[in-house]
Amino acid sequence: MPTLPANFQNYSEAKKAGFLKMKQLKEDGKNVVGVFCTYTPNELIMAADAISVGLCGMSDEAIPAAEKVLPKNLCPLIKASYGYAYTDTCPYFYFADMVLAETTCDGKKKMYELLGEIKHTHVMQLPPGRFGEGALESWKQEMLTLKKVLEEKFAVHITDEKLRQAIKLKNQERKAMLEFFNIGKLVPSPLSGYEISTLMDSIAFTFDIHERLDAITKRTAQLKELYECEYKGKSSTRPRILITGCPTGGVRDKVIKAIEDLGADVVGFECCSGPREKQDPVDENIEPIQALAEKYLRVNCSVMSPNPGRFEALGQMIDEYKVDGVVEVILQACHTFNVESYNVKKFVTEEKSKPYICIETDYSKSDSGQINTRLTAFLEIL
Amino acid sequence: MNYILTFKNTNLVIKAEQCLKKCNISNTVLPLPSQLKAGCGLCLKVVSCDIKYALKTLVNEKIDELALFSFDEKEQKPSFVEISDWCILLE
Repeated sequence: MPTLPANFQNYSEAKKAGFLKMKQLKEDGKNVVGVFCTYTPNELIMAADAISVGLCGMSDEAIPAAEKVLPKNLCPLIKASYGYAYTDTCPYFYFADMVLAETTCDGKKKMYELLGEIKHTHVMQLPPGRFGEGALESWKQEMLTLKKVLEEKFAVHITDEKLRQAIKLKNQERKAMLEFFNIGKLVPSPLSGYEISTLMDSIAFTFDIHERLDAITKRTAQLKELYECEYKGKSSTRPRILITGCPTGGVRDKVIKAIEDLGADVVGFECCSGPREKQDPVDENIEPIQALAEKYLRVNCSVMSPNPGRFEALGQMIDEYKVDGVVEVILQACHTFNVESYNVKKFVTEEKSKPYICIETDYSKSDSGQINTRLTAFLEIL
Repeated sequence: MNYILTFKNTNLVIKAEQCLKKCNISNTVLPLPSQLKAGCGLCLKVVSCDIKYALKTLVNEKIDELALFSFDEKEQKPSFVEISDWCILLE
């Protein structure tokens, strides 16, 4: 069974550790942009000499406060994110000069309107599909508008040169992260899914991209060495699980950790905590704004209609990670992933002939027992 | 013995920090220790000899929605004791 590194920090510890770094950066005069989603063109923020920080809510503590404003039957990620902002209990939101968001799902885009009443929130109008006529042109226009917004907000000039440098650096980071994810393809895997998920969500609290690159490269090298010394050539009876669906940060303990505690290995993630956008670099050889628009329109989130790229990625990951079963995680009231799960189930069970289970849940602990029972039964059939 | 002050939101922590700084009362902003539950993820540490003056200053500035905990910094895993009647320290 893969073990966690000696210096492992859980998500909450990593998040807390970043508070003081962020405070110091603000005191040093750095500009900060709060972000939510994989669609965010971080390269533009970098080229504006600003820092981005993730604001996705991953625990249920601020949800009761959010429910004073938002409907109860809304996705927990949206409620948690808004709750932290509404109660001013997330230092990252407090220190952010502005929020950058995208019209991904209906719940989020309406929540962003309310968020805009608390802090300057710029919302990029994401086209609802990749293939519609004018989709790319409209998204490119959104990139240009964002460039202007950042330039005005921070009184900077985003040059093509700065943008190209940011693109190059982010592509290097993507490549390093992809190599880290690829460790999960090894049989048996020396890397726990709990570590993958925690690291991907918490590395965002290391604000220097060079530090991030260094940390991820070092860990990948350690894992490769560990595999050679302790895992290579050995057999494992632990089933290999692929996670797909919604972001899993808020349900990490009751789903990811539970699967691994029950005797399986979570080897890969086909979701925003996984290689979804990492395996698709920004084209460094074309005009940078065009390249960003093209890249970020290719993100395979279920908000895109249709979304064939997700099925291609899913098929590829099932094969390459030598997966025995697929667990789909749906956050309650996430309509796009929930509706798409019908076709995901068909694809996994019929085309790939692999067992599949769908867990619909929220951030509370109330269904932990029920989830454990369902996962136990699922793992027994593998 | 040192003290931790917790607040219900980040704005109050930063306001309290600046208010104490202005009065030359030494304080440190820290991530909230995992043993404590408070609204916000940050808190202030104030040393024993400054705590009365710090509390008086904050109360005068109407930053009084706070909780006070004492702890021994020398302990490896300090236990935090809530002083719910901290107002008596103002007398």
